Amino acid sequence: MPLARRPTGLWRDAWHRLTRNRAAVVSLVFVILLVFVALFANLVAPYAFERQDLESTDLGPSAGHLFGTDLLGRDELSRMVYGSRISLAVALVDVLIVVLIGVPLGLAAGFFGKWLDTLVMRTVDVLLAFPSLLLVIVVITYLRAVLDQPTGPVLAVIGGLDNLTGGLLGVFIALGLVSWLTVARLVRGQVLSLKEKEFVEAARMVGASNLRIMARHLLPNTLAPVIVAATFGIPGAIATEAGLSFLGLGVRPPLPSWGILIAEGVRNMRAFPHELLFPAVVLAVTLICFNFLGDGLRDALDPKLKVD
Amino acid sequence: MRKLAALSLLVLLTVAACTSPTSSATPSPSLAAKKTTLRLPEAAKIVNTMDPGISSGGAGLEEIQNMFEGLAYVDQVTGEIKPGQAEKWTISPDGITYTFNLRAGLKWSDGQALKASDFEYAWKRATDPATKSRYAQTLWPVKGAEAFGTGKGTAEGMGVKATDDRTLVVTLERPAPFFMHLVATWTAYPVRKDTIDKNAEKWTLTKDTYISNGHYRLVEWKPEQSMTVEKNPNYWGENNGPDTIVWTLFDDQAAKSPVAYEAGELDRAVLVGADITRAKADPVLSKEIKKFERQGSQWIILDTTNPPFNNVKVRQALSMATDAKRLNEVVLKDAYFNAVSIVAPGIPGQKTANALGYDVAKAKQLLSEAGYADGKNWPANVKFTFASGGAETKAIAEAIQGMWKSALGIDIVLEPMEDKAFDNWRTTRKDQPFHMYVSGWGSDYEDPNNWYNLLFDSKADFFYAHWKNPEFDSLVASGLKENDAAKRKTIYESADKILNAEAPYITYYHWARFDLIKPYIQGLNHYRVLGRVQGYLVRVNK
Amino acid sequence: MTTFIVRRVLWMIPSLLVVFTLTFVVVHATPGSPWDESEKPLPEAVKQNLAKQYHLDDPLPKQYADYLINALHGDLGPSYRSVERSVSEIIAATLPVSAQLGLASMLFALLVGIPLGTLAAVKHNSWIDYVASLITVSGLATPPFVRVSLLVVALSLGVAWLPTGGWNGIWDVRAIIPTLAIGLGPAAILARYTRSSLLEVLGQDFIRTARAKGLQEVMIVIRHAMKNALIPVLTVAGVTLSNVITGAFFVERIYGVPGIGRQFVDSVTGRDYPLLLGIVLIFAILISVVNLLTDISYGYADPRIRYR
Repeated sequence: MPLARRPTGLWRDAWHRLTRNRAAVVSLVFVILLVFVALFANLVAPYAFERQDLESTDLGPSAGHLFGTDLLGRDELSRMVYGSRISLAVALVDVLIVVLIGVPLGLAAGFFGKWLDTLVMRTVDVLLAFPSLLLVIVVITYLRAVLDQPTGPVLAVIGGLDNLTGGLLGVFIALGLVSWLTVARLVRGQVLSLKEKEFVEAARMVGASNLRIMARHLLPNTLAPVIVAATFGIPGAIATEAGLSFLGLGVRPPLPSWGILIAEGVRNMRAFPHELLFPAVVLAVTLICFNFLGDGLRDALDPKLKVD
Repeated sequence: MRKLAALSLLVLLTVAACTSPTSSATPSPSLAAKKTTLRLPEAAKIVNTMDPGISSGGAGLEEIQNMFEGLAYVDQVTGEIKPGQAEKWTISPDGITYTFNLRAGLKWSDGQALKASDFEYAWKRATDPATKSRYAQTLWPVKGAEAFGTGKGTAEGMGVKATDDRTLVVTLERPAPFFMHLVATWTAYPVRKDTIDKNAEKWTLTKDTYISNGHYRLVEWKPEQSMTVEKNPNYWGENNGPDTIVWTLFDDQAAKSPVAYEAGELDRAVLVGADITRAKADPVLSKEIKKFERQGSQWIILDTTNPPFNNVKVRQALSMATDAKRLNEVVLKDAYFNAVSIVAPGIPGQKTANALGYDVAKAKQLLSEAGYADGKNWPANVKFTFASGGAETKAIAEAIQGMWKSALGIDIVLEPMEDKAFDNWRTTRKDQPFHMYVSGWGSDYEDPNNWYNLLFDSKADFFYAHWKNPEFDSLVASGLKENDAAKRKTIYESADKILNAEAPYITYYHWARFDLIKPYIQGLNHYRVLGRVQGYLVRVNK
Repeated sequence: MTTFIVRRVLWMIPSLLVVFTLTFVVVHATPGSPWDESEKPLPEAVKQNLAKQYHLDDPLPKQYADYLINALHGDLGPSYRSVERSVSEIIAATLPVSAQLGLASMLFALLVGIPLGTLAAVKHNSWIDYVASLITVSGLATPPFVRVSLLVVALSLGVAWLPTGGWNGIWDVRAIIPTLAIGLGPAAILARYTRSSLLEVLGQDFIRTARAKGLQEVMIVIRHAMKNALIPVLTVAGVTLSNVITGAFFVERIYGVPGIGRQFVDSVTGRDYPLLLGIVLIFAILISVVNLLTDISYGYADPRIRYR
């Protein structure tokens, strides 16, 4: 278990350790680049993603189309650039859910104990009883089927949200049901072991409120595993979106996503290998970078790790 | 990718040290040296029942049609109705009574005699609501059948009777010129009462209980994996086809069967999309390609009472701005036949000259006459609805969206729906508005009745296009009653002219089957209406 | 410990009930009928008859109660889309297949992942570490549906001796590609967790003591370090089970393995309610049991952990 320390020293030390890890630094740079590309997609992409050209379909890489074209003559590079938005949006939602739902629930469950703890943990158990992908499929199928004919204002609003997110609302909700589970358990476990320690006793004796104890003392010490868990959750979320698009349950056409590109690429794999190669490689590199970043953060934030 | 290959190779070598590869790739039983086997692909998902009385057709039908035979069958080359278990039949002058004479000495696959009462039992059973047939309505033209099937009648009241072991008398509600086609469908196949009584729904599972009367009989069925059949020694006729047929069931035939075919595990494969391009470019495969016609059309159906599609000029404009040829040849890799008209070719009445064709200039003009020049005033949120399960449909929807945008400047919104939700939504369109959706139709039998009257007549309005044209209605009504073939054709041709001009449907391809067939296979044919591979016609020259 | 186990087992019952009820409600609320209308719509009278025969026109609470009561007697109902086999028969036929495949994949993951992770930890920060890390992360970088397609192309068509699909038992050559495709992901996860927890243990005092005593490095690693390092690996076992099930579903579909994952998705998209509910119940029980076993073994392995 990591020693309880006050925040300031931890972060500076962590940053030093992180920057000495070459793989993590490279990964961080790549992630930042990816965010940049996603944000400024319309500047980076050479073409509009929906621009069709039936004269130039299924072409291999060339000067005009660095990654080639797809079956409707759309530029693959542009589709990949815009597709990064979907992947990063999914990653962002995943992190938000972990941080905004998983952490508070874990903190509260561990700190207050008793009925709150039981309630939260049993809910976690119930939701964990589903393999996550299957739960996602059920939720998305239901949402898609119901939203296609909205009856009443509530569904109409949800339908509007769905359109706004390019049809990803179902994916977000499903992720929302699933991503926070392991983090909540993790945080709760940490809090359970930390709350008996002396510095918490000391804070209580000085008259600190529960909220203050949770926020100032417990939270910083649970952050390390949370950050790591969040970073590791991202590749899973992105891969889930890819798998769902492969099944036809992902974003609404004509929006591109890496999952859709890979799904189309797998179908055309033997005739036009470039259509699979580029999205698969980009996805792979992204997943690897997030993994190495998570590795690096874990190594950096764990003060007991030997670094030779 | 290289790392993955390296890892794979590493594991491969490790595993290779522990296992020995077997060369057998087919799940068939061991074969003697001279016996021939035909290996075909089949879709795994829908083979949900091998009971001819319950099946709704689709996947599994090919197997059923090889193991059973009805009173009559459809010739896979000419499309004619030919005598099957019945050697002849007579129709009364009023067209209501059919008398079938069965051949002498007919046997089931286990050697027991086949009697006319087996047909009577099968027909009544299929219509019985308790049987839960998914295709029960097939035999409703028979007198009393619909009443029985909807719970208002009895089995005794149904107009099918075995007057002796070799004679079956059928009485219809009213004359139906297409009735012999229904007689040839699988719902009308005979089934054995004793095995069904004894085994209930499990009678189809093993070779001892699945007793059939066709060219082949069951050897083994591994659900969702494979089905094996062998020649039926008790079939009345000749069978010079392969001794065994093995179907391998695939979840995604289009994706997996070419792979299995190229690995030498199948004799036939289904080709779609990019695989077609690859096959055409391959020196070996390009010689093994066979494209078969299927009598069907795939359309965008427009709601003719809902703006902007209530204006015929808008419909015509969109139809003329759809480059169906490009769509099929470039996007779909020529997997189908270029669309030439609303009704598929081969149906009397269909006339390619009646079609609107592709003409962007004219389309622009029509659209501006309708008030939407260059997309101005075009309503927002015009929805193009389709079932999202098929990858092709998505590409087609995107392509057409692009075509209309660049030719006419209009925007449509793609609305993919989950498959079942789409089916549900579609059935509710009867009295609900919509903009457009995608669907298609394949002939049940080759007769204008199966298209013009069944689908487009405003009282039938099968696809809920809400299209009503009194002249069209009266034409097809008179066509239904007309007995002279030439006159009939002319009547339907006039109806066809109106249909195409009014453009309630936009055709974007005609159906086809695109196969790879090994060069040592001869005689493998699918007739263009409900065609399936008939094993006994195939020769395996290996 | 016994009270802990008993309490958890008792908690499983309401958990399962909640899972069942949620699934029942969501699935019946999703529009679409079980009958195949993809080619031609069925006449209304036929649909009504089918609904009547399968009791789909009974009020929902009655359907709910009927299903539960029958389930308690071991009757999970008929399958709507498969006339010849009941739900119990389908599950009895497909669950063993998935179980065998899952076990084989887990075994593969253990036999490949743990040694690889150990190697990476022992040779920390050397080139061996990086290479091993890259190999294992490759397992994470490709989603299962891409993996299986690539493996088929490489091993069936490329090297040309593995079959392209089907199933003939776990000892048959057809099981190789699915096992690899599913197992690579968990292998990667196990490798990384083994590496990081082993690194943590190797830095601790008692290891330094052992080294000071002059014990051989290999002995140290195996006897002292591994035991402690395996604890986090156990916690990850639950996650890897989920991974295996998820990966299995894609691989079963693409490779044609007659497993239960395939049945699940088909039953969701095909609205085969009895089959869906039956599979959900089985999965929920399975996963709850596995989670419980993991927690118990965690408790035995680390005496520092106390359970309420």
